[in-house]
Amino acid sequence: MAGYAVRRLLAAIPTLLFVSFVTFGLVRLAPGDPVLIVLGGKRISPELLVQLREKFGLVGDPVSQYIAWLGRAVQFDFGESYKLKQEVGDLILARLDTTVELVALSVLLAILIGIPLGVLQARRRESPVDYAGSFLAFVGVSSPVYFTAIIGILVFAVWLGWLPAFGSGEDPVDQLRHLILPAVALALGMIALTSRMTRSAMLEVLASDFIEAARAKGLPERTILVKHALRNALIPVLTVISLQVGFLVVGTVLVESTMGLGGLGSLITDAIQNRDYPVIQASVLLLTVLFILINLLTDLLYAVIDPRIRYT
Amino acid sequence: MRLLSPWPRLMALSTMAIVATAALLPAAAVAQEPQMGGSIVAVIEGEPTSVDPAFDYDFVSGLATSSITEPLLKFCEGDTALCPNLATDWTVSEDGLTYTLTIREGVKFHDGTDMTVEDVVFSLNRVRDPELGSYVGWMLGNVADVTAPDDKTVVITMSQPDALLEYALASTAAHVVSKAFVESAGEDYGTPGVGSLGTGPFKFVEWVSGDHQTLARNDDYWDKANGGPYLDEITIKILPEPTTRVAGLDTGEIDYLVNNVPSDQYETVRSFDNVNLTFAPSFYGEWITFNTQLPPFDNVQVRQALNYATDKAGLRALYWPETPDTKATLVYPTMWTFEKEAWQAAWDELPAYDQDLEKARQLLDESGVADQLNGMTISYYESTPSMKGIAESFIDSMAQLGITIEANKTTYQENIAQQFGAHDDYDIFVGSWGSDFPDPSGNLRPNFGSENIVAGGANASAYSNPDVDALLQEQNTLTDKAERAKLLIEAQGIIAAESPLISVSNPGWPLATNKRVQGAEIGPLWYWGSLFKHVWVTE
Repeated sequence: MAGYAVRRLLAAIPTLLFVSFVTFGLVRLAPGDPVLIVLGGKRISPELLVQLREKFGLVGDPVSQYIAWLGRAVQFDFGESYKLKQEVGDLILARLDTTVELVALSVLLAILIGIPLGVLQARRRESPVDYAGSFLAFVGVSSPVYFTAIIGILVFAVWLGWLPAFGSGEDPVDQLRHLILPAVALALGMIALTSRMTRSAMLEVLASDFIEAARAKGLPERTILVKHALRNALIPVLTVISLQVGFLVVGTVLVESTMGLGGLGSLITDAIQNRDYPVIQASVLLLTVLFILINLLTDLLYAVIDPRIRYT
Repeated sequence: MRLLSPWPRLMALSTMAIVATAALLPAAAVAQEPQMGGSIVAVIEGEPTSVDPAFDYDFVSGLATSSITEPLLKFCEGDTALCPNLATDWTVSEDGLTYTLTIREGVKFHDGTDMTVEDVVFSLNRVRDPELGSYVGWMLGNVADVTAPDDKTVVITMSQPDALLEYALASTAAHVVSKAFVESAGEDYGTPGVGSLGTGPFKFVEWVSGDHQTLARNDDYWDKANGGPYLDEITIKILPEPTTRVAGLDTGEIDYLVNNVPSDQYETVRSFDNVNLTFAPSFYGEWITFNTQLPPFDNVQVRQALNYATDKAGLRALYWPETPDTKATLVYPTMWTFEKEAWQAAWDELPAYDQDLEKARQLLDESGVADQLNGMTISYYESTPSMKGIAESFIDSMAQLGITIEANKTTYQENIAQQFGAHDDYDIFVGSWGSDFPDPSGNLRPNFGSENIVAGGANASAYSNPDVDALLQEQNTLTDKAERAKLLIEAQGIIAAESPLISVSNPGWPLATNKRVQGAEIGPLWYWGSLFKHVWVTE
């Protein structure tokens, strides 16, 4: 399995090269002039325009621009943001922990609430619990995340005063308090999806012959549910969750701007809006790496869950 | 537990008695004397660009930057005049080509080193250096050289006279930075990891990128005679969403919010009993314009008709109920910083183009090209709710004239490209502009000078009138304020008659503070000065 993992990682390198090249080209083809945007609203002299174009590396043919960028990128030097005058690497690192904490907390909530909920719904199919769970799933999926966040702020910060309205907090405990509302807002949609997925996967597995056999053998219902049925149902659920995690890294952006959290989501979307090429390129690379790693991890987890799966 | 000695019990009882009495005493009248100490949380809507003053030319970077470093002069008297700051005195030669400044002695940087004329010369030359690419370098565009003939004086020589130079000396273009600090920091100067070193009322403590900036009081600040600084610490947090900013004011998590109060929630903010909402006069306004070189907008009757069609009074009543009426000019009464009487007299004569649909219809008919307007678009970017409101109101007014105008909601970058590009990729455009300086020319030259039509300029009307150009250029070379006023007023008059732009409003700058915050007052140019020097808190 280790060899498999290593081969997967090596295969990632050409992917990264390809992605970086395509991003480089696409972003320069899009309309919008990064220099004008940086200077927007400010008086400029024609000299400054030329000056900045050179500084941003926007003169000369695209291919040599790309090669120059690549040369520095492999040394982890991603240049300086056009708009924010900070090193791109520093910008990303400063925001990485907020994003990681937010995504981890949301996924944890989704797993801890979504899976048991799905199991319960499958066990008590067509019962009030099942209908209630489905209704919650419906609300969770339909409610836009920024709307949920604002309602959360209104209820828990303004009316009840239990939680802070925005920001990220100082010490670790305070930080956790600040992350509850955004994580719940993000997790709602995921809980919905996870519980639906778990429910239908469980129903399918519970209807199979080996479950009937286990029941006939007299195994306790709890053992059947968790040790046998759930384990089989987990593969599709894991797939769904891993897809969600990938999107969540940037999907946090609406919650970030609503609640004043400095994460990768707002960095990337702002960069795209501002045609901040260095940030866009570095971020896309980072996201690609992340997606590759998540995919790899998911595939490896399949092998853990289902011993029949073997990688050579 | 039984006490063996009577003294502890006696102590406890008497302490309780004292505390109880104190609690029962009526609360002392709220002390109006500023108190030292305390901290506040201020909020901005996006990540600051830098704390290097050379790159501070927006509305978010300055909260930190302008309290850390300071300019040679400062705006005072409600931001309409110039006062000494790090320069105690300044004189201009007769021909306007030499500025002599006396530099204040005994000023220290936050690390204890002395501020010298070398630092001043370094700071000004640094901003002028094209290599740096400073956003405010253009303000020193007519400067030929900066030298220090002795250790108390700095001399600025000009390549040509520039009436706006003295204002530049109160902006971030003239902030004095520490030569030693900047040279050792190199490229990283002004970034979160390094920060900035200045002489200002507050010191840079930290900047966590994407999250917040922290400043601490400078106990050795040179200007404590006029009061302040009082606060121990200021935290500036980043919060892009307007509604959450309003919520934060309500919960008390936000003590200080300038400019970024959403205009459609003023009533809500006013209703919070722990918040004060005030408005300062501004040099800023919102307007509608079109490219006056492209048909049918090249026809003056069409332009005047559109001006008569717009319901400015209605918009003002909706968004800015307490602001005064506007007239067909961008030189608002707040900008009459010299020759007030002359400007007032001119104002009385200016047309207002109050909404008059009959007149609009008549002018359109006379022009004969009204049908070209059908199907045109009005572009706007919803930076504030009023921009959208202006577009919608305009569409409505035109509909009443039987003309269909479509709305074109743009993104931020499209808006920038429209307002500062070649000015030829929109039909009708909703825009805004505010002068950097307390000088009427700041709202005329950038918007109506023909040299500003090309990309990089702000002449969104593509207005080109050689008479106006001559007037605007000439007034900039003069130092006699009465003469300048004459020329500017003449230019204003021509522009008003030609109606290249529909002036809608001159809203004030909102400032929302928690009731515990005292001494917070802002002027039209709040973004150029330290907001926090006089601020103190009652608890």
